[in-house]
Amino acid sequence: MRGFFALELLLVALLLPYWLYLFDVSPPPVLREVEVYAQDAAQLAMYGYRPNGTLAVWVDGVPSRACAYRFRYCTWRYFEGGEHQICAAECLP
Amino acid sequence: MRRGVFALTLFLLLSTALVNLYAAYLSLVRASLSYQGQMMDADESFYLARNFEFDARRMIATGGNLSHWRSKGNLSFGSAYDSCVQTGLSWDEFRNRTFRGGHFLALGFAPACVTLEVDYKNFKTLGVLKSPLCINTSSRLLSCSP
Repeated sequence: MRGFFALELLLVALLLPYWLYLFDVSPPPVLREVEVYAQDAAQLAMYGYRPNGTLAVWVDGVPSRACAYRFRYCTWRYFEGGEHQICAAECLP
Repeated sequence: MRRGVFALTLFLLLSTALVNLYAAYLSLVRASLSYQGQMMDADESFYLARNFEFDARRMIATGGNLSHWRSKGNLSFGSAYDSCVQTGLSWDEFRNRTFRGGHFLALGFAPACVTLEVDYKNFKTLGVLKSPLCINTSSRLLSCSP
């Protein structure tokens, strides 16, 4: 019977990714939503506004708020005589 | 049948099915992320062209140049595009002849364009600054370059 136990142990190990899936309740990131928000924030930054919403925004590396995130999207714009980088990220709850 | 073999076979079948389900889920997530990534690249191409159009309008009003856009795509002054005529003007000539007294004027009877061909990760588009169209030089409502 020892061989069967070893085999069963191997099969239980095969279930490990499925358990990870069951216990990982966080949904996959919606990249497009963050990107659209970053583009909107970049347009606002071109006109001198600094968005202050639920997402974190970086203008030239200066964050609007400090938070942990999984995905950050960066874009850039020419305004005020130079190139500026604008990034956005959705903060983790 | 030896005791336990049926249970073991059943477990084998179920575990394989569940692992396959998880693999299918991962495959869907990966496809979704890849699709979103391509959409973001296309958006970036569009916004690059739009940012050029904003900047070109600003530069024509403030007297600046557009040389910083050369690294972002193929920049062409007074170029032919759709209804624009091929003028062969430099940026300074284009600006001097189409922007006077704070107004953007038509160049002769036909509009002229400044274009930037954008190619961002194989998503191609065109940023266009187009001078107005002059239809009737005797009309005071229209801005026609002399």
